[in-house]
Amino acid sequence: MPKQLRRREEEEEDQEPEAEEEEGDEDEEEEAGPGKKGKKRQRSAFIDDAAEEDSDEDEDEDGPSRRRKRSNFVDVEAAEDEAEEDDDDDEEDVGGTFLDDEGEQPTAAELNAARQAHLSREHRLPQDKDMSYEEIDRFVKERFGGREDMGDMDEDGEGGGGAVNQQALLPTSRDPRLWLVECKSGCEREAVVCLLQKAHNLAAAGNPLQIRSAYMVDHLRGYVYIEAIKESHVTDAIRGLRMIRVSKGAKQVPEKEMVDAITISQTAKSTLETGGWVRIRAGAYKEDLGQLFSVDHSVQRAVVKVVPRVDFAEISKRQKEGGRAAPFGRQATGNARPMPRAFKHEEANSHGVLVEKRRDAYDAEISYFIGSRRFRDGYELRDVSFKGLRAEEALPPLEEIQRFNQVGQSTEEQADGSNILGDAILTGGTMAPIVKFSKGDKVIVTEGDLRNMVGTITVVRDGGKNVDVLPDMEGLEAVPMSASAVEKWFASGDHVKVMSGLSEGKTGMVVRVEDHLCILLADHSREELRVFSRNLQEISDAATAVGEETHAFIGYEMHDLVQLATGDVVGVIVDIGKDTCRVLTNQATSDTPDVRVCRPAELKQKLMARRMEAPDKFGNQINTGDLVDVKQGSYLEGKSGTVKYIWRGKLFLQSKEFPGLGGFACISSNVVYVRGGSNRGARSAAGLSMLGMRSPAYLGTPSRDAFSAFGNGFGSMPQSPNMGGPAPVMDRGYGGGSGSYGGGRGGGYGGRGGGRRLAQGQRVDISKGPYKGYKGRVVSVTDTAARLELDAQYKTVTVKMGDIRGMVVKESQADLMGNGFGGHGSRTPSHQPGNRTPGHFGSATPMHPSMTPGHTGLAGSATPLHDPAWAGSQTPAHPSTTPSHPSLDGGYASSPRGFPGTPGRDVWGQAPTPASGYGSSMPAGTPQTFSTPYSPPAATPAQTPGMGAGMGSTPALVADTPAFAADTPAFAAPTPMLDTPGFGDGQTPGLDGLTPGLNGGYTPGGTPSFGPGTGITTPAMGLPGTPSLDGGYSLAPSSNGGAAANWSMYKGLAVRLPDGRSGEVLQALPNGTCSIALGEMDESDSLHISSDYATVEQAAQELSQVSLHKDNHVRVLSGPLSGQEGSVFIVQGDHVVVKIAGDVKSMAAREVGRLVRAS
Amino acid sequence: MFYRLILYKDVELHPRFFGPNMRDTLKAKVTAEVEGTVSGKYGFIAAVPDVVDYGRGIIREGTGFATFRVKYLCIVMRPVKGEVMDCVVTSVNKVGFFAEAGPLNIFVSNHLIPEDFEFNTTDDTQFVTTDASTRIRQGTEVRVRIVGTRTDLTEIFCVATIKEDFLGVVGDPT
Repeated sequence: MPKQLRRREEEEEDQEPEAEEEEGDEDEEEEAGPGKKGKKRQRSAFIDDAAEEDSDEDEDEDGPSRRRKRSNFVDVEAAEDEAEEDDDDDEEDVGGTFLDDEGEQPTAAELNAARQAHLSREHRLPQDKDMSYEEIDRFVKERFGGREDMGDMDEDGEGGGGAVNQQALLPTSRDPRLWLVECKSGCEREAVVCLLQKAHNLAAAGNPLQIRSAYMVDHLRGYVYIEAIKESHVTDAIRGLRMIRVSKGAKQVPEKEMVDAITISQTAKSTLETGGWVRIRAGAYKEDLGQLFSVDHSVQRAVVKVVPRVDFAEISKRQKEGGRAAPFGRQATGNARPMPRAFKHEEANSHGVLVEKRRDAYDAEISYFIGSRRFRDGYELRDVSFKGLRAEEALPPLEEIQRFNQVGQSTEEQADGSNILGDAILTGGTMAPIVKFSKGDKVIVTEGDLRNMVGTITVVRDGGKNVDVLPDMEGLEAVPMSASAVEKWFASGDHVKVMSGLSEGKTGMVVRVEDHLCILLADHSREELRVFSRNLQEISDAATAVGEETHAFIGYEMHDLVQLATGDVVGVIVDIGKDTCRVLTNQATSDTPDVRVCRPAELKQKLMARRMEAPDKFGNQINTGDLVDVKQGSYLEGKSGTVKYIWRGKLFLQSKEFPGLGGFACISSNVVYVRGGSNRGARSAAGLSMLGMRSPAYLGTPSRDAFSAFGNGFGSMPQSPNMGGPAPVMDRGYGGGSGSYGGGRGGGYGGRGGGRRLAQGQRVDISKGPYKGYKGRVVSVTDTAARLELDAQYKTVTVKMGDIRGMVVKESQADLMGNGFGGHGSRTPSHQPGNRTPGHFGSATPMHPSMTPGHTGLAGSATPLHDPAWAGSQTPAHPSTTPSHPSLDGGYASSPRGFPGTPGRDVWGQAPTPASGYGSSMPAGTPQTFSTPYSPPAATPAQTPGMGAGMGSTPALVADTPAFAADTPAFAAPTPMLDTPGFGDGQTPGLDGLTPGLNGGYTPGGTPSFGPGTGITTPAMGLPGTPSLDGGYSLAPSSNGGAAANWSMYKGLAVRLPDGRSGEVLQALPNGTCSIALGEMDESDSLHISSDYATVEQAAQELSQVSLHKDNHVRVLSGPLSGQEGSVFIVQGDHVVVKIAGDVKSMAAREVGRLVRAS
Repeated sequence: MFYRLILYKDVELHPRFFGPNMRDTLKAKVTAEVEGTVSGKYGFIAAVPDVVDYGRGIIREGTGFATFRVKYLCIVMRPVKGEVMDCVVTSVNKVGFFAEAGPLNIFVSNHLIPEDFEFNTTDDTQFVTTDASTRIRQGTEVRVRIVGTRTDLTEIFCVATIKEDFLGVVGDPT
């Protein structure tokens, strides 16, 4: 380096002889021979060298040459002026002599003339205030004439004109040169200011400096640039300035490097600049984000705006203790680092901290001071050395900027949330963000001639520093550009992925673009995200479908059900970020969802809860995938969603109706009800039948949840196929097996309990309390009470569950039953057995067909089961299944049946289940849907077992008769019970059936419940009111409980088929199947059967009675007189008076069946 | 936009259906399997009006099932960027509203709703113009322009705008 300089010095010496030429023409030097040029070119690295080199050059080394050089330009006048200023430089005298020496050089006059011409050109204008317009114009042309043509080009130039223009601005050989002079490090600015002052003073004195300009650049310490035509002008100018090392002389900047010399390099610029973002390296604010408030490069310090971390208590303490000395001294050890917060002087005052409010010496703005700390607008201004700062390479994360800006917002009254981001962007925009472009990115050009052009990146070069952009406009070719000149560009509707920041990895669709910011709608969480567009990347649809996500949650995916490491918490992942995920847990309350942010370590495992189920509000079973409505008591009330997961009574629902969280919500299963599908049907059907059957149980025990049991059975019975098919042989083993199955299920359900037993709209009796004796319709139900609309009074009252006794079936429900819902069907099987049982006889209702489930022959039906033998056979199965079963085995005695009050309750619960199982199957095939065989009868303890068994076997039963027959014997055994007085008493149809069992052996307790109430209410019961078909009484009702067992009594009856046809029962098989000769009813309601009648087979339960008229021949189907025949004397409502063997008996219409002809 | 396409579907048929009504069975099967599904490539398959060709079944060894390559005609619905369509609002929240056009879910962000609409929850969750003359709530019929679509395996999701001329509320059921 020194060598080069030296060479340069020598060169200058060589030029001496030609000095005069140079003087006249400033271009001379440039036009000198090639040799010289070459030499100058050797200096090409001049600027850099100069910047780096130390001033190790020996000042005196080339003293004379320098002097000589300078002498060329020394002005006599100037030299005189400057003499005084020159304190340490004695060279000017020498210079003076030199001037005289230059004899061969142009004469002083010539020189002067040239210079005057020059000066006049430069300076006259401002002085000649009275210049005319034309003169000014001429002056301008003269002075800037060289650029005129460029201006023209500008006007008509298109596109390419700019570059040419730019070229034209480059310095030419005719322009002044740049000179570099050394000065004291840190005094560059001062030097320039001094030069300015000097120029001003001298100009005022009529002896202006001849330099054109002087400037310094912050990043180049120890040097000042001066623009002048000749070096001597420079030396003249700097002479006498103490901060400039005049003795070092001026170094010329080669023409080619002049542009570079005044261009502030990008790297130098980006480091620290007012408004830029930095981080503090150490101290209380370590790693805090700060914004540069002001920067002083000369002293290498900056004022940084940070969010204050102030511990007022601590300060206050110190101020009290030791005055105000160093209130911000070392942090008290052990003290936690104060949280960053906006500074509020009121807060400081409240802690008793002395706060001074005064104008800042720096810019005269009002600030608050605590000791030496300065606060303004909620921020603290700290004076920090550059060394204590680290420039942010890119714009800090949006969230951090927001937090930072909020501090300012919070202290300003006019705080307006909307510009939080605006500020962030504005201030952030000053930084050159590091953007990673990749091929295919859409970009918009932000700088240069192509500004605002949108294109696609085709090539990324130089590690991302340069890119080729293919403009979107057709017919254009890719343009190479600097990466800093382009920005990513998105339009609404683009599908993008967030590449960095808190939301990294998320995908979404752009809904709006605001400058540098994109607003996205996240795909999964359906939330809005605000992200800098530089952090986004467009993705194809396919990419999301595949869904490769880069997050720390390996093995987990969005919307997985996971178990958390803490406690018994499970939840659904609703959001996955880079390092954390959000989990909607099952701890939610009815008001708010519980969302937790978890790290990977906090997730214990992924749960596979595929086959979970839960009861809904009405006890219906909810399975995953079901659609449920949210009933009440939740912020989701009135909405509905799809069940995604079920976990211990909590449902995780998904619906787009739910706000946020990916449309997920967690809710307790008992505030929803299942919508649609078979579940609903099951519910109603089951509900009905339940009522019937249950009622007994009901009354007594609230715990039972028939519904659920039914529902369950419904959906799930695998056995149904068997049902449908004929099962020719009743195989006990088989039956037992199935029974066990049912039992198993039942057990499960039984445990649940707690559902509601009443359905809205049902009619019930009130048996206790102030409203005792009233009947009403259920308006709403809770676990403990029901609101009833009374029939007798226009009033809605609340009644405790325990006060409600029987149930009255609504017509519609009865119809349902008639339709043979699954539930009923299930029972049927058991029914039949009842019927068959010889023992049952009387009770056996052949006719029962229509009988409502509960009713029926329940008793009968149950009975069979009772049979020890039967039971025995099944027992094996039972034990295995239901715990309660054992009791069954032991003896019927323990009425598992769940009488009211009886421990059997639970059992009962189980028992039904099997039934439900049937139910499911029933629909499949068995015609004999009806009834709940079970019902009351079943209820009897004795029967219970039967029930279970019956149920179990049912499939087989259904299948039919043959099997039954086999069983019958068993029935017989039970039958005795039927005969029991209770039975007899229980004239009430329903009752009877059931009661027998009860009365006989069963606890009285049970009976009552059964009793009238039950009988009557049970849908099956066939109240007078329950018109099952055509207004006629259903046969079932008419049949007595006891009679139910004997279908043979149907023979010869006129009946109505479910489809409306009517006919005569030709034959009734023991299994309840009747063969019917079809006939026609005429206007007088008498049946005519043609000779070529068709016969159909129909389950007796499905047959209904035809209406009765005076003188009709009838057969008594139930009660003590069952089997007797007579004729109708009077029909009165639902009672008939029948003449039997000369005796007149009054009985319920449903107890008698009309015979086609007297036998 | 709706398209009429001819697509293929491999259908397996149980041997018990081999017989006179086999084609009907096949058609029913194709219809059942295909209608209402989303194909990422084509969009929603809205209807299968006809089967063009049942192909020749190939009996699979071992199972007895026959595989038919059924060529069927279908109507597909595929939303296109820029398309204008009418839809019905299904839910409204503060970030915008969701709407449905048949099987299509559409989201209109509040950024894409004209400024004179304001979100309001006092009466109903809805967007109401400042003069309260127009409101967007559940059930409102709106005309939107689709600005972006995303196709998943099972659904197509669109972002749409009503912030343009001639877009917005076209009918209110109440």
